[in-house]
Amino acid sequence: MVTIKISPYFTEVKKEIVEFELKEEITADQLLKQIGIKKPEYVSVVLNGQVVSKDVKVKNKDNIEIYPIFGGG
Amino acid sequence: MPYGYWGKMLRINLTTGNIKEETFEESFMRKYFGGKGFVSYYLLKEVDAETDPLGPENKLIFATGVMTGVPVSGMCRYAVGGKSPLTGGYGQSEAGGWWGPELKMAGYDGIIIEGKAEKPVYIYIKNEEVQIKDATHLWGKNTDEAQRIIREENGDKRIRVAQIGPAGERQINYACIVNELKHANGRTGMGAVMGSKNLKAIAVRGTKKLEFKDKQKITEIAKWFSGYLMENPLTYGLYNWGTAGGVMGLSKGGILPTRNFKEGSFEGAEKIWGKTMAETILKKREGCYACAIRCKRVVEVKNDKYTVDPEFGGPEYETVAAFGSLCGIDDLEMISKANELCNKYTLDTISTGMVIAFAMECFEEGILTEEDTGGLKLNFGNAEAALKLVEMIAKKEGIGEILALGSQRAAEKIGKGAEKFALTVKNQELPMHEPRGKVGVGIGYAVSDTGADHMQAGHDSLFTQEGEVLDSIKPLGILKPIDPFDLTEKKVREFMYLQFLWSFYNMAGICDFSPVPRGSLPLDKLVEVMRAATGWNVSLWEMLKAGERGLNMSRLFNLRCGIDSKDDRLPERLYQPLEGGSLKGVKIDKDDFNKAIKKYYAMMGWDEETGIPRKEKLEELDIKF
Repeated sequence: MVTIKISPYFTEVKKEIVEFELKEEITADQLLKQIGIKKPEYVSVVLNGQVVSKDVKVKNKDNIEIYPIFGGG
Repeated sequence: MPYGYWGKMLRINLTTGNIKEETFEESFMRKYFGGKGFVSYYLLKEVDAETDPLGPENKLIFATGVMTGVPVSGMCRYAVGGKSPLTGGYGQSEAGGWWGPELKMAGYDGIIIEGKAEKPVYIYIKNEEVQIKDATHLWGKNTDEAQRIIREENGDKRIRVAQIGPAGERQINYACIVNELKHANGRTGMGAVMGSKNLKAIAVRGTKKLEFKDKQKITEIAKWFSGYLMENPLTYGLYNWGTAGGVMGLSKGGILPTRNFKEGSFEGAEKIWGKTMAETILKKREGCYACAIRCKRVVEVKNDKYTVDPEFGGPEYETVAAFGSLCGIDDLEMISKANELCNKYTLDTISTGMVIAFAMECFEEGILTEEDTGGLKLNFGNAEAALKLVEMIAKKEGIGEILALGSQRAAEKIGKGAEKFALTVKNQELPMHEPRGKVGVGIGYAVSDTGADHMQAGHDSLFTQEGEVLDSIKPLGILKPIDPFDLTEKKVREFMYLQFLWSFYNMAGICDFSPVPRGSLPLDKLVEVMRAATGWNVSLWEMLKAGERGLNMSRLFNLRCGIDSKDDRLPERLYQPLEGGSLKGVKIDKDDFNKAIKKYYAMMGWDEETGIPRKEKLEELDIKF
């Protein structure tokens, strides 16, 4: 089971937490598309507490959080 | 006839009481575009190296931009500038709200204030009727009361008031100017300059019609953009969660300034971010003039501990971080109270939070004791003590008198090694962005004309991958993603091009939350709006060149004031590893950073060693001072 906590910025995903079983390891980018994030380029991915690049592989038991990139102001 | 502006400045001498109008040509506006362009022009022309920032010879310039008052989201801003009491050099700060457009509707593009009134006064502008009025009865009053009295005695509730509170009157080095009780020209101490002139407020009521070349086109783009911006996460996120919606992402990324920049992640981030604000104390969302983004928050608190009046708006990201994570405080109600007090007294929330965090670290290190603080236990996380300090600073009471100097000068007075905890550039306190995780922001802090400033250019984190944001700045020639830690020529080039754009936004009166890359109005649409407003065949190239001109002019003013390449540096702490958070151990390499600064000088056409603009660069930009 992979758990994804979703920032409310991403209104296209209606849930705050999404959980499901991964059949195989996939990249964070693929995962974002799979859960319905429309514009992954606006997402900062936190994997088990660390910000990671979107080409990093994710697997079951991982905790993932997604937040918007933020450019100051 | 000019479109989008009047070609008219007011010059008001408070020593003599003389009020006059000065006109300028179209070519002047098209060269300087208003805002920062006007501030730097008048400072170079009229203020010399010896001028005391708090003396009558200093000028205080209120300048709208050519786009201020265009009814499209984000076209609402104006700049206030003068010689800064905080930095000793170029001072300037912008604000949104309604005051800038109101001045435009009154028939003026800007105001140059000179001299010093014998007793407290305020200026009342009702279209072209301009009066200097007695403000003896307003002196010492907080902003809410002063605004209420000004509106009542002039019989008009719609008067827009830009003013100072007691902190400005006491000439605190980081006092700001506040309009509508909640929009601040926050930085570089322009409120102190206003106080030094015995000028309490500029109250404006404008009912004139500003003409635009193609009103229909403007309406068409404004309508299209108000829908389009809700499809873009960067702009609809601002609507939904405000600027503080970024707190969690920054904390997780290790770049949320925490406990005086010792750490980059805050354990209490979830309690203070925009979502929590929306779910607890948020009363409503608000916007500036004609803006559909509506990033402003209005909060209300009524309980035994605090009351926060919604009239003062709500805390922005900078304020949430400055009084929150930076001071180790996770109490959103207390942060909102601090925001209210700063708006009431007119203190810059960034510098005030930074000064308090500095004092907290000094206290924890034993440099300041309870004897010094009047019994306050100034440990990180002590919300009550932090609020008490805001009051003491505004009143210059006890330790507040030293802290009112700003952290650099306070550290020099305190001694005992306090200097290393004062995090400033050119004496101005760092804003709430961590350069160790986005080094381009560090370049901006170092080379900024106003001292540490986060609004010099778009931040590195926006441009680390392919996609819409990067695509939006490809017309500038920034074509590939760049690592946030990169300090090579790629980063310097990216920073410089974006700095031209940001400088232009500050000239023309445009909020960076509206156009790309921080907002979502595409650059070609921005050019279209500018053409429709002014009737000029203006181009992106021309806009960037104007931005570059503005940067060179403010640089020249700083050089005149003795601020030069030695001052383009970061506080030592940023060359040390972060002590906590998800970027623990990360630091900026000092040699690489210094090389990047020299590369920036060279790319700018400045001398690589001294940072002085080369003669040919000034000739190219047609700068003659």
